[in-house]
Amino acid sequence: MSNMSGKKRRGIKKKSYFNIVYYVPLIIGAMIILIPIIWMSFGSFRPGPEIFAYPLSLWPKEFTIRNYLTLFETVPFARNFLNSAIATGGFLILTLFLCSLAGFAFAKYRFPLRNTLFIILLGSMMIPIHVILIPLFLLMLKIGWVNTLYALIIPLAAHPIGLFFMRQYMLSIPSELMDAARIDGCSEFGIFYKIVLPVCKPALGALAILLGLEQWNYFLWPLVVLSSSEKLTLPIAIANLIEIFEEKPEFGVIFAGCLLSILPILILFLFLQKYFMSGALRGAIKG
Amino acid sequence: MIWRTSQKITPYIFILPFFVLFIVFKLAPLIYTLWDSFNVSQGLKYAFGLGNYLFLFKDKRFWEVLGNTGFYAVGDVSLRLVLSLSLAIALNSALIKFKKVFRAIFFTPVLISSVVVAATFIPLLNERYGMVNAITGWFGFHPAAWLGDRNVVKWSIIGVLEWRWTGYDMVFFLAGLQAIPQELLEVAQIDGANRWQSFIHVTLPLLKPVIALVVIVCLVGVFRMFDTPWLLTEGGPGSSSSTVAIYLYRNAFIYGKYAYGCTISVILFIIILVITIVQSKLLGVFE
Repeated sequence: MSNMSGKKRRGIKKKSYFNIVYYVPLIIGAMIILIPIIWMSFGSFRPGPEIFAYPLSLWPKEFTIRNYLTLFETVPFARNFLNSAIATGGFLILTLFLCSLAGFAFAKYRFPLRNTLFIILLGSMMIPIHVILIPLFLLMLKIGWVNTLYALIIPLAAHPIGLFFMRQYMLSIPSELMDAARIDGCSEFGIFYKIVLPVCKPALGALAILLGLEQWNYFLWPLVVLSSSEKLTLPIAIANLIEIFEEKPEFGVIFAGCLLSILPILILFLFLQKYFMSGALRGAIKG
Repeated sequence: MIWRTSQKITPYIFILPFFVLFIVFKLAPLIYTLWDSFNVSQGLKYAFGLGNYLFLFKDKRFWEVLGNTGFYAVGDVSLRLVLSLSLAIALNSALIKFKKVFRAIFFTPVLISSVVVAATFIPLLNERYGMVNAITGWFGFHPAAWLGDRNVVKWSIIGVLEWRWTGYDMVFFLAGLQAIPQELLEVAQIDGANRWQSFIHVTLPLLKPVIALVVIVCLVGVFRMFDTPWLLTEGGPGSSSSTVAIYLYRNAFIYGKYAYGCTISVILFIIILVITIVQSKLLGVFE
């Protein structure tokens, strides 16, 4: 018995020691992560020169919304924001629909060539956009989609990871559910639309977060395919802001654009934290 | 199962829209890339052959950017493994409070687009006025040209990558750690193993699949990497921070050498293919 309590006491001592060992690096790490974000956010409310005048201060000496006014005067930022919203929304609706419809066929039907087609899809998951960047751009030129939002939505919609994601989830839906609906005279598409899709809501939500984040922040493809300032999405618009204001140096204006572009995501994250992390987890494992 | 004749063609109708987009915007471009990589233009004459590949193997720039990418791969993978695993272990400890808050903080940079990250770090890393040099100055270091010095710039980019992605890998390790049965660790302790021994002999072997996954996700990410070095330095000074993807983009969309760009794409594809095949082999062994 005395031996046991001795162990326990040592355990408690260890505890407080390990507390510090864990907390100090965690807090330093959290500061390294947070300070740039906070500095950037407050920086968007600072008059231009102040950002560099006091490199180590986070809080603005003088609050101003001048940067935001300059932002909306120099670039069509509201338009860019809308473009990003349309590109993300349109892409999500189309992709989720196509992926769940095809995923449903792969999960719940037996048909010749099923496995062959599925293996081709699995293999294509490792084709990054870089490999097809040039022909895809030339194709966009040919069909007149350069500088349109179609180019950001339709060519990207056949997303193999999305299909695989939906198929995995649909495998777990009992086939009896479908047979019962068939007896009631429901059409095959009706089964998909009225029975399978509602059951898949959690998977659709997780996939929407995963793909939506990717699309909202997408840089390379929009950089290649969009050019006029009216048509740009937020990441490209901000990259242009960096070029315009970096030398002046008016980083406040750039930061104003940055903060407005990350705010929607941060707000969503605040409410749906769990889904963001589980989505990241599943997306990478499948990809 | 109740079968109707219409059911035989139903699955094909369901996968048709997905596959039409897949063939037009993925498979066909992939074949075009492969074909175009053999197109050699010499003045006004066109030839079909290995000319681009031979040129590529003699292209010093290409070897330099491939070397840079390898440097990023080694530096980024090793740092990320150590940092994110330590972070996950600290956050998995029963002694830590506010776990959810810490986890959310470390995950936040994952949500932020590479453009916003670059816009924030360009001024932070500024040689004369930046916060990073102000802080290293406290410890007596000379101000460094983080983005302007050939010998430093790759490390700066790796630093920014760590800032952005450590929290992402942390999610995988946390999931891996939580899947380890607590009894195993208790058994090890009863057998007289200290914390370090039980970490080396129990935790680490059980985490092998997660480690393999993180390494692969990270490697593939680095070999595709375009945004971060492009936005921070455009691959400079010279091409000391450039990557294969940046070189591909430059050749195709700045110099207009599409065929040569396609050749680089094919090589990039082969590299990613090899990494992914090694991944599936490794994961197969571990499972």
